[in-house]
Amino acid sequence: MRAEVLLEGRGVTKRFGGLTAVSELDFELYRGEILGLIGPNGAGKTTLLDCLTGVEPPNEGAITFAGQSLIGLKPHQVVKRGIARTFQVVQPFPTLTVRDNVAMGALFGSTRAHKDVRRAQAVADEKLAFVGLANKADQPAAQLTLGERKRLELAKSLATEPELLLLDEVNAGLNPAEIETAIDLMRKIRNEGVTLLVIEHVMKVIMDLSDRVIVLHHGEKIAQGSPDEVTNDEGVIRAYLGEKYAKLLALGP
Amino acid sequence: MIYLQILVNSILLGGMYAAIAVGFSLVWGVMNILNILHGTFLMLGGYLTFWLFHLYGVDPFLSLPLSAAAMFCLGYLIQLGIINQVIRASFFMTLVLTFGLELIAVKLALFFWTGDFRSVQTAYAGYSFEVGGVIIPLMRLALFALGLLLTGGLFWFMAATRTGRAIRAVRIDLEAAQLMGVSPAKIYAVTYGLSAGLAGAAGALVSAGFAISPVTDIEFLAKSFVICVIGGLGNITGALAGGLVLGLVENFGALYFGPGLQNALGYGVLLLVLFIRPTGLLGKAGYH
Amino acid sequence: MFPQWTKNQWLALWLGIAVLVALPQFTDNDGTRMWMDILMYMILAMSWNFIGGLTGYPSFAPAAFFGLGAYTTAILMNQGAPFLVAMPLGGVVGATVALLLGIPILRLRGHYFAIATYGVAEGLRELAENLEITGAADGINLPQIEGTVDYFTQYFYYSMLAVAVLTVLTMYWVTRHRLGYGLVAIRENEDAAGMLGVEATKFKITAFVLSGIFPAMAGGVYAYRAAFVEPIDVFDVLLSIEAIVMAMLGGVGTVMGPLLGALFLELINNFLWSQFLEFHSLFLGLLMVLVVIFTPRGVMAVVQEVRMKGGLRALGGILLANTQRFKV
Repeated sequence: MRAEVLLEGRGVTKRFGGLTAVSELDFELYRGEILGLIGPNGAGKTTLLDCLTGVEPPNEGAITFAGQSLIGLKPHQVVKRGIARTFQVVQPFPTLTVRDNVAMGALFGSTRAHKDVRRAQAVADEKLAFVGLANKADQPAAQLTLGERKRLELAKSLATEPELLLLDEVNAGLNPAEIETAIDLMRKIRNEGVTLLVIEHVMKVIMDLSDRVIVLHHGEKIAQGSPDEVTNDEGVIRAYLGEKYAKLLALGP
Repeated sequence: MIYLQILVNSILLGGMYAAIAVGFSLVWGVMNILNILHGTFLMLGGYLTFWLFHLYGVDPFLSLPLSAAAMFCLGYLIQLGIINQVIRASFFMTLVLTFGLELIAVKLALFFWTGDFRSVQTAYAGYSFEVGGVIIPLMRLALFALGLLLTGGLFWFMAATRTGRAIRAVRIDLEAAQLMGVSPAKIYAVTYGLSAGLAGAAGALVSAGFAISPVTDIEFLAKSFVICVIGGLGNITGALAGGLVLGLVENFGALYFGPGLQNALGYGVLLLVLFIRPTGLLGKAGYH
Repeated sequence: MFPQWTKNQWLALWLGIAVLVALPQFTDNDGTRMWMDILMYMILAMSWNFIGGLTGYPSFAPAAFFGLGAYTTAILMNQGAPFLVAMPLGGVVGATVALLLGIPILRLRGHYFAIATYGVAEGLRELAENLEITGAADGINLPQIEGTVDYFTQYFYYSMLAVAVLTVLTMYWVTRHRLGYGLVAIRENEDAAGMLGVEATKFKITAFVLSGIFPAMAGGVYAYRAAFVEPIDVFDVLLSIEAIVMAMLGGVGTVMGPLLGALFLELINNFLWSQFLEFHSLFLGLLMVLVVIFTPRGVMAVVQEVRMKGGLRALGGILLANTQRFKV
C-alpha cells in the first residue's frame, strides 16, 4: 500500500544574491518514513530546512504539507502546523531550567495548544523522560553537556507534538556511544508516529535509520533511493570524493 | 540668498557635529558600548582649555592637543580600571555603568565649577568673514575643519597604524585577534582613550566657539546618538554624513518650524531612521 | 520558573497591602506623602520590568508614559472631567501610544531599541515644551482638589496605592501564565522562541503596552497632586533611569525585585540623604556603578546566595566572584 505524501516540494529555489543555494528541487516525504538528507558541506541542506520552516522564504517553488501550502508562513506558524526542527548549533534558553525549556515547546508550538502552564510542564516531564533527561529537569540549561543539550533540543521539539520532525545534524560532536543512543531515540520517535527528515554527516546514522535517502549537491538533487543505492551511485561518489575516486570505484574491486 | 547662508551654516555645523560624534561612533562600533560618558569627556576637555586660557592665557588652539591628550589618558584609565571589569556582560550592563559614571562626573563638575556657562573669550572669538554674500564665523569654520581633521585622522590611524589595525581586528573577530597576540584589555583601553581624546579635542574648540557647562554634557551625548544612528556605524565617515544631515535638518527645520523645535526634529529624524533603516546611511550591519 | 505562591506568600502580600491601606492612620501627612512617592516609584520600576526585565528590551520610555498620563489628566480635568475619569483615560492614552509606537520600535533590538525609547522620551519633552496645547515650557495648572490637608493627602495616597496594587497583581498574573513564559523565552533567545511557536511581535507589544499603562496612571495622580505639570518635571528621563536602577537593584525579571528595589532606594533617598538632596544623582550614579560591578543580578540574588552559602561571611566572596564574571 502506497504511503501518504506528507510533505512535498516542487521547483523549490532559494538564492542569496548571486549564489543559488537550492535549485529547482522536487521532493516528496511519505508519512511514517525516515528520510535521510545528505550532501557535501554547502549543498543546501540547512537552507532547505530554512525554506520549509519559514526562516528563509524560497524565491520560487511550492511547498505543501498535509495538502496545505507552507509558503509565506512565519516560523511560529509553521510549528503550529505540526513541523518541528532542531538546529545544528543548539539554542537553549540558558538561564531557564531544562523543564521550562521544554515546556516552552508545549506551551506555544503544540498543535494541541496547551495554554496552561502546569499542563505544559507535565508534558515537558513526559518528553524529558522520553529522551532520558528526567534527572536534569531542574537544572539550568546552560549547565548541560553538549550531548545533553542535543537531547534537550530534541525534547523541546517533541514537546510541540509535531507530525514531522526535521533534525539538522543532531549527531555532530557526539561520541559513538552517544550516537547509538541517538539512533535508538530516533527509532522510538518514529514508532510514536512522527515522520523524520534527518540531515546527517555521520553515515552510520543514515545507513542504519533511513528508509530512503536524498542527496544534494550545489543545491540540486543528484540522487535518491535506498541507502545502499545512493551510496553506490557514481554521481554521489564523485560529489563527495571527486572525479578520481569515482573512476577508481567504477573500475570495480 | 538666505538659502545659501543656511546651507553654509548647515555644512559648518555638520563638520562640528562630526567632530563631536566621531569618538562616540568609534567606541560604539568597536566595542558595542553606548558611552554615556562621551559628553563628559567633551565637557572636561573644554574646561581644561577654559582654565588654561583663564588662568594662564593659553590660546585654545594651542591647548587643544593638551585637552586631547589629557582626555585620552583619563579615558584609557577608566576603560582599563572600570569598564573592562564588566565588558563581557550584556550591553545593558555597560550602558548602566557608563550612565552611573556620568551622573557622578556631572555632579562633581557641578559641585566644583557650578553650572555657569563658560566660554573662552579670545580676541578673535567673534570674528567672521564674508565670502560672496555669505557670512562665515571663524570659530564655526575652525570647528568644521576640526571635524574633517579628526575624521580623516582617525581614518588614517585605523588604516595605517598597527594599533589601528589591531582595533579593527578586535572588532571583526575577537578570538582571532587574541590568537594573534592582541590583548583585548589594552586594545579596548586604547580605543576608549582615543574616543575620549577625540571628544576632548572637540570640547576644546567648543568652549572657544560656544560655551560649555556640566549641564550641556547630555546634549552633546544626545546629538552624538542621533548623528551616529543617521550616519551609521562601522564606518568612520558615518559621523560626517550623520553630522551633515543633522546640520541640514536643524537649520532648515528652524527656518520652517521655528528654532524651538530643532531638537524635537532631530529626535524625529532619529526615530525615522531607526524605523526605516537602522543601519543608517553609511552603516554596515554589524551589531544590531 | 515562576512557582505559584504559597499560602504564606499570599498572606504576606495581603498583609502588606493591609498595612499600606492602614498607613495614613499611623503617620502624619509628611509620612503619607513619602509613602505615596515610594508607591509611585514601585509602579515605575515594576512597569519597566514587563518590557525590560521579563522581555529583555531595556526601555527608557517610562518617563514618556508618565508624562503622557500627567498631561492627559491635566488637559482633561481642565475640560471639566473628574479625576477618576481623567486618570484612567491617561492610562488609556499611555496604552494606545505604547501600542502604536510598539509596532515599529520593537523591531529594533539592543542599543537601537534603547536609543529609540530615549528618543521618544526626550522628543516628547521637546514637543511638550513647544506646543500650545501643553502650555509650552510654562506648563499647565490643574484644578485644585477641595478639602482639608488630611483629606487630600490621603486621597492622593490611596489613588497611587490603587494603581500600585493593580500593577503588582498584573505582574503576578502575567508571570504565572503563558504570556510571562513567552516574554522570558524572547529574552533568552528570541529566534529560538519563534521557532518554538512564540508569536514574538504580539507578545513584545503586549509587554510594552503593560509597561505604559501604569506609569501613565501614576503620572495622572502625580499631576493632580502637584496641581501643575511642566515638561522638565514629568517627562524627566531621570524617572526612567531610576526605574531601571531600582529594578536592577532588586533583581531584574523577578516579581518582587523591582518592588523591593524601589522601596530600598526610596527609603535611602529619604532617610540618609534628606540633608544632601543635591547629591541625589551622585549617589544614584555611584549605586549604578556598584550594582553593575558587584551585584549584576540584583541584591535579591546576592541574598539568596548568602543564604545558600551559609551566612554573611560568604558575602565578600560572593561579591568578589561577581566582579570576575564579566571581566575582559
